[in-house]
Amino acid sequence: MNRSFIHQDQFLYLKIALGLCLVSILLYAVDDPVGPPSGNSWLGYTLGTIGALIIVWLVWFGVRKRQYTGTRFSLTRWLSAHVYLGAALLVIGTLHCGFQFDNNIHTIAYILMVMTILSGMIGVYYYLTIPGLISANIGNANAQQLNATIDQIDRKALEIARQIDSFVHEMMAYSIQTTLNERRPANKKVVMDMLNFGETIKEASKACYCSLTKEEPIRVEQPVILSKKRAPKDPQLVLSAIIIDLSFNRSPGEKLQQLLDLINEKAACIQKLHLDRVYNSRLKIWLMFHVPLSLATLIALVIHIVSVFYY
Amino acid sequence: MKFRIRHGNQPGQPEDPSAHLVFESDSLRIGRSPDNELVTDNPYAADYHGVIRSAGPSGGAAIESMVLSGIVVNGKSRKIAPLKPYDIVSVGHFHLRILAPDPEHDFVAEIITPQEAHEHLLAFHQGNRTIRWIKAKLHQLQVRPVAWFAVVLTLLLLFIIPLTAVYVPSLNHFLKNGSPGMRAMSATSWSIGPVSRYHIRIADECEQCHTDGAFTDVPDKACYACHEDIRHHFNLDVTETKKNEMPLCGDCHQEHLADNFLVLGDRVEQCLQCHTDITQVAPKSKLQSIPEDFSGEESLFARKHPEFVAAMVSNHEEDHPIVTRVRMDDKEHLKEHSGLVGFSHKDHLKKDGILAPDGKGGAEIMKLECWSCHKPDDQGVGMKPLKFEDHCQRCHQLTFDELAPSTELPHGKAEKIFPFLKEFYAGSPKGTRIEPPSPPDKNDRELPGRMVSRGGLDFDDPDVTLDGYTREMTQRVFEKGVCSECHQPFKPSSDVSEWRVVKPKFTEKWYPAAKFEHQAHAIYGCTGCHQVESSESPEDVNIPAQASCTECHDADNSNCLKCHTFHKDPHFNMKGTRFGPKVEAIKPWHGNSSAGQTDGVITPAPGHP
Repeated sequence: MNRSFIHQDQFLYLKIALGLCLVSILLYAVDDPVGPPSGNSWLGYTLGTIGALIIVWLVWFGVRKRQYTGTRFSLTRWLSAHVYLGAALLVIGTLHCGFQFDNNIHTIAYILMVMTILSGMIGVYYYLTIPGLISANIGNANAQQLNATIDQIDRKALEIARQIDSFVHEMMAYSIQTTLNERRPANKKVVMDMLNFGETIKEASKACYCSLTKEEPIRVEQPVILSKKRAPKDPQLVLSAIIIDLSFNRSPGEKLQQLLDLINEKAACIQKLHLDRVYNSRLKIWLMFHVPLSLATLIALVIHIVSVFYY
Repeated sequence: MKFRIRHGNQPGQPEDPSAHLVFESDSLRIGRSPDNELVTDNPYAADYHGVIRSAGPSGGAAIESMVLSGIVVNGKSRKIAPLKPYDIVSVGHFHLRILAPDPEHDFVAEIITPQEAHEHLLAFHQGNRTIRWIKAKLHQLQVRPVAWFAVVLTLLLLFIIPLTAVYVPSLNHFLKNGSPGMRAMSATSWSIGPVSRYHIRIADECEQCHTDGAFTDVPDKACYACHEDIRHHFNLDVTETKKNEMPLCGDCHQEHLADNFLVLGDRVEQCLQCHTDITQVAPKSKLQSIPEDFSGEESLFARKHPEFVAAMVSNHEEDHPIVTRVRMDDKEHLKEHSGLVGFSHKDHLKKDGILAPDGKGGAEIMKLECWSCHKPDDQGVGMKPLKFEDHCQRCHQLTFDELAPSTELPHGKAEKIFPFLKEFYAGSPKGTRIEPPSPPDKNDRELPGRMVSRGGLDFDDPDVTLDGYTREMTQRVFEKGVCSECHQPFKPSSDVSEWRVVKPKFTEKWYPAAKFEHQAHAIYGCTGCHQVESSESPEDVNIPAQASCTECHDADNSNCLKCHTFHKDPHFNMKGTRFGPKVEAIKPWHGNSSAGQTDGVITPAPGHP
């Protein structure tokens, strides 16, 4: 259903919506109402009735999408019509009120309707792009599997780090501790810290290699993580300790390489996890706006109708 | 120090005394190594990760990290940190929650699960606690409760509060005087559109007009509360109009459309509802019906509007003028009988001018224009009434006796002529010239004003009395003299002293049901509409007919109310006939009309179809 709702039935619902808009504009242009154009004319009532029926039908989509049984009017068709008729409502609703806006509940109802439609347009963009991005990011996996993978990596990395050096273990434990609580919710900064930590280890291993082979030592830049609040108080000392330990070859190089591989693997997983959460959060936040706005619009519509006939 | 560490207790379950680790030592070490007091196989822990010991003389405990990266207290990495109740010490998945010391132990803590630690830590994370809590709650938030919240909020703000304000004036007053957001919740926020500027003073008082409550139209009585003297459209009794056929105020006066809009003035259809066949609603009305397809096509106004009907002085009964409505295309009856004779616009408006009486021997040419006599009134709507003394007497002097050529009769009161003459002749020698003869006019011009001769009358005859002489001269003045030059004299009895003239009565308002402003039409000039250059008779009606108006006014730029008024009937006010007590006796209208019963009702002239 990803993109099919856009061109469902050869854009049938787009054509219907455009036709509806054109007829409304045409009627609005030729109508000669009593006083200025407003909802209080035969055209105003006509457009208002059509708009109200469309709103009720649009909101009913929330019920329809939970009915999983197949009908002649498939969910894709329903969604396609939902999108296009919802957009047409922008024209119909505006012509209904005759561009009369004031500080009253009718204008508030109109604003709610416009906000709902605009949020719906954002939703269309999201649903056209985000599912593809999610698939490209984690493939067939899911967030739970990624978390389990990261836990496994953490345990392996800690075990290898312990075998390498206590300082390396300490740093690794710290980084895991940092990411452990922060893994839910996702935090981009933690991911960056992890990557920087990986870079630190890489730089340290290069320095180690240089000292062992008597080559010119490579200057180790202070990594970002060590300047952060969560870094150990004396990062230079930590780094120096790692380098010295590695320089005396107290840890085997193979283990170090395994650790680096695990760190990189974890960083990649966290990056995927983070992006997955970002994408899913966007959809959730969108729903958090669109659904309440839709219901608020429906309620405001009922109040609008009641108040119009109240006096 | 005495330590007591609780472990293995399940939340909500009775405390298990055996699940306590109690010991006495200088410190409590945490790590993977078996010689620690608290040993954890947590892979995140170092062999010796941290140590808890007394904080010193001040009491309490503190924790010191044994690793360079520090130990995590309340989510923050610390080298050394004092511990207070409810702090969380974390080593990987191992979490220790500090509790308040009891009388027997200096340090009490419990080992908690990562989930418990996560919940407790929310309160200790950096940043504002409330914001952290809100963030955590937002993260857990689901769509459905948010949607319900939106529904309830919308109902509250847009329905419950405004509806309450409708019935609680104090709340409404409070909301109306608040911010724009609060005004949007007041009772007026239900207003379907702007109130017209005519009602702007009561725009915020819905109950002033909506007196009958919800879901009902504004009743007419609400309008009459202020507009109590508003007049009916026409005399209901004369036309026998069905009162239930009368439109409501709100049918024509629609509020809440725009701030400058109240009357459906541009709605021809509104008037046609009744006037297409007026007899349906007013059986005795003699108004002409308007074709149903009056509007909608170009210049239909010109082709479909009935010819204008003038309300003109058509005849006199003694000195009482009769006003009759005559169609402007009814040339046979379209004659004004004002009581004036001999007047000709054509003669007065000669292009070469007319001889003026000024100078007496130096007569000059005077060129008259329309405005020489017809002066617009102060409002620029109509014309000031003509007065003999101001507009006529300069030329038409009331001299009456050729032997007294400078003496003039009084004007305006025919009954004063006989006493005047009697007094005049009583003081004059019989048969003699009263005044010296005037010098001959240069052009030998005869001034307007017929003087009568005394031929046949002999003042020396002793049988001729002053009364008899005066009666004879009175007879001559009325019948042949200056009076009959402009007026129609008549004698209601055989008594000569009773000579009178028909009192002129000019039609002051030719189209009493119409609105017209001369000032607005001044650019077309008088003769652009009034064809007076060829008018030779005072009976000529020189008022423009429909064709003259429709040269400019058609259905596209005109409507009924452009020319017609609505609330014009002088007999009733609407309140009195519809809602108030029935008017017992209709006051007679002391207007100038007798045959035309009232405005808007045509009483055709005799013979008029």
